[in-house]
Amino acid sequence: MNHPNREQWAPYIFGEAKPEARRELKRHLNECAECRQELDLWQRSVRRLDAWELPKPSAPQREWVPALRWAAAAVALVCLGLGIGRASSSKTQMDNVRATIEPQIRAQLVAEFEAKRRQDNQAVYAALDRLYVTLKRDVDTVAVNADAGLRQTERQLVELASYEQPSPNR
Amino acid sequence: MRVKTYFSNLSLLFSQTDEEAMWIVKTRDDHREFARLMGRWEKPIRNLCIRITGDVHLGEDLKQETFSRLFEKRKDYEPTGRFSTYLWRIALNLCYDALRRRERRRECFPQTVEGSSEDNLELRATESPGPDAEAAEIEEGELVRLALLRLPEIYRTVLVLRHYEGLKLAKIAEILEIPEGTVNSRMAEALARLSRILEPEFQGKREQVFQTNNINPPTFTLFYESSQP
Repeated sequence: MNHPNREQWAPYIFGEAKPEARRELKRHLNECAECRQELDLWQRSVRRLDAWELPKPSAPQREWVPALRWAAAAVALVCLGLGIGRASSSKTQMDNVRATIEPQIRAQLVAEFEAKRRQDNQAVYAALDRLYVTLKRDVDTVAVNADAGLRQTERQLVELASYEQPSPNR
Repeated sequence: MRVKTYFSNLSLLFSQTDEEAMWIVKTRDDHREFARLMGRWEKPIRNLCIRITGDVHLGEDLKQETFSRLFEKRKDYEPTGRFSTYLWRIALNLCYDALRRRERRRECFPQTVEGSSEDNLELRATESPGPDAEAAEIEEGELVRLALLRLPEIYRTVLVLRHYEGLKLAKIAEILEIPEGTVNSRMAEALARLSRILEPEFQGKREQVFQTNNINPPTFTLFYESSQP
């Protein structure tokens, strides 16, 4: 009996054989006990491969998770402290504290405001000084130019007054 | 369930192909796109590396190395073929290199070889002349792992790619850059060898598995023909 080539069985086992080839191989298997036995063995081995299961990959722990936990813990701690503080202080105590610190805060505010005002004034005066110097220079320039112009005009008037008509007899 | 499948298919319709994603990684050094690509391929590449090397820890390392190599060589990527083929080749070549390194280490330091517990188990299994108490307790999965490790790389590779990774024989031929007929003949040989190893073991004849028999011991001289992508 002519047996099919061994390589023909690979597509058959994995269900990739073309219909025609598959029919022929099946027909041969029905007639040939030797091939049937070998193919059974191979198929059994393929099924046995499933026994080797891989362990699941360990899930990578995200780097921001611990930081997030610490942040959450810090926020919770602060909230807890505030809550305890507010709960433990009475209204009279709060009023006393307010009355004590109010004049100090006001005095500090006034002092800061004065300092700021003085600073602003100095800046304004300095700017005005600079403006005055610039303007004075411009005005002086205009004055000098005007004076020069006037002198020139005066000279021209004198020349005009002393002008004589030349004699036609000459 | 049907709705979920429908939306899954719909999202696939609008999603980028791997080739497009890799092109973006290549041209723009886009780390986010690379992370998405890695997310899609991490599991199959991990499985492949573990199945080929038979070592979970080494496989995990090789998976990382595969993606490192992929990003490192992103400028060399040419979208002429399937991205998956490119990636499988990188992973396989790294696996082969790692196996050769391990084999050389064993040849140089046969007595002081250090490795994972699985390595030691494998050594015990392959070197002990007969069954012992530990071998008797070996589970079926472990037997399969050891049996696969005893196959030469070229046979183990086709089995792993077809059975565990679910690749078609034509796709395997494309990855290994060999004719489909060669894949088929390698598969037949792989199944014949595997059956000769597994059958007696599963029949309760454990002592025959790890004794010297007519099956060639693992050899790392029959190397994978494909070139480094």
